[in-house]
Amino acid sequence: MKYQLADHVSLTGVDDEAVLLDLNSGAYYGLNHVGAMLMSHLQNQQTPEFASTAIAKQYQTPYITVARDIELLLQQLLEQKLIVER
Amino acid sequence: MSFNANTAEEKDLKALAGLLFNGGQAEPTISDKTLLAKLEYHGISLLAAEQQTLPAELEGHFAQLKAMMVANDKLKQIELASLFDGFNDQGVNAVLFKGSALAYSLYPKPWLRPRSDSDVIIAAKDKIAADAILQQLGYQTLFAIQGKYVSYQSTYGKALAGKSFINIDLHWQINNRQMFCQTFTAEELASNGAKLTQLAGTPLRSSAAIPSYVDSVLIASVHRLGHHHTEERLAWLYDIHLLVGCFTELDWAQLTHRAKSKQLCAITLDALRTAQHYLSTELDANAMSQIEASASQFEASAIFLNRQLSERHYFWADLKSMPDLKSKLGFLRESTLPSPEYVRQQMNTRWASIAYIKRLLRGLRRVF
Repeated sequence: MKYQLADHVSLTGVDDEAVLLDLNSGAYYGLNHVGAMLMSHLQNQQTPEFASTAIAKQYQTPYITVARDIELLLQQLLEQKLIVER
Repeated sequence: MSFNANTAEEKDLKALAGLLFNGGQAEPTISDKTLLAKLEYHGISLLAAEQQTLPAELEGHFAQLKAMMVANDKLKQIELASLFDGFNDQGVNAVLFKGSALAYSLYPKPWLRPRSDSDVIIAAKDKIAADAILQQLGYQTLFAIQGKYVSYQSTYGKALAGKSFINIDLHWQINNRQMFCQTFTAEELASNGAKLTQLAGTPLRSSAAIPSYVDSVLIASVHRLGHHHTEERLAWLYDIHLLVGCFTELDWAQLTHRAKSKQLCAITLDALRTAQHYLSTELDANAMSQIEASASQFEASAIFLNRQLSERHYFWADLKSMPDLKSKLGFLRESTLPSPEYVRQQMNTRWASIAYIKRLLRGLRRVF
């Protein structure tokens, strides 16, 4: 499964972090560097699994831990309608 | 100009200014709440946070603030892009100046430069067209004094998504002070200046004009003393610090020339020296000695260097600077007797006569 930003959402990189902004409601979400990396991978049309592998490698963290955190984050973003399936 | 290192205000400003540079450190005796309030007042919260000079326990606060400012700025950029597209479509030559122009052209990240409004200057002949564009985009005119001489700007506001709000200060003269109102025209700023070609990461259909760095220093110097002579805010000095940090030799020569020709040497010198004092701004010695030499000759605007005078002195100086008797009388009348609608709302009463008396008493207190 691949995801992309919803049409009404903008992503702004801030150093190694990012801010997601719902342009309709004005609600915003600060993403830490892992969240920002995930969004960057998703925007490059990569799967969450690919992103998890890359992030686990970069942070030398077990893949399973990263994959679980990413799944939770994706779930929240989907619930908030900030991302949609590609 | 002199700086007394022993006053509490001076020590405070120096300590706060130190937070804008690597290695700075907040005074250990100051509470977090007080520190945050001071940073906010001076408009340097995120600038200081960027330098990591603030207490570690405030990190969470600044992460939230940054996210909010980034989001807010994005919404404002999108709105400004629509506005400038509208101006261009209707042939209105508008120049974005002061804080917003600097945020998008000088600062590495626009949200580092907080501002409560976006200033736009147009030619007086374009007032009606600009007003129509703003109304069409959903802006409402905010309460302010109106007149031919007493104000050269209107403020328009618009609610954006969420709790965001944008204010546009639409000027047809650069400053409300009579002495400074003709310092620059929109046309002059545009011809000396540059163009913003994108906002919010999106190319503008046509570009937005912004002043040159040289003109921005003069505008900042006028704004600092002409409009805010009772206060010293570090954000405005930091603008000057960054602006002259980008100067070439030619820019220094142009600054010297324009400060002389516009009779702004004394207040420009004061702004530059103050930035140097608090922020260690590097100044060009040759340009400074030329500006200093001209500043010692009479300039009417030098009255603003004395920040202790009461308003009547500035008012009188303003009046004297007006070109003819008709405009002087018009300015006097509009200042003392604004419209009944305005004065009723200003003094929060339904009776105009009472409102005028209240305004007169308030004015007398302020003047004497």
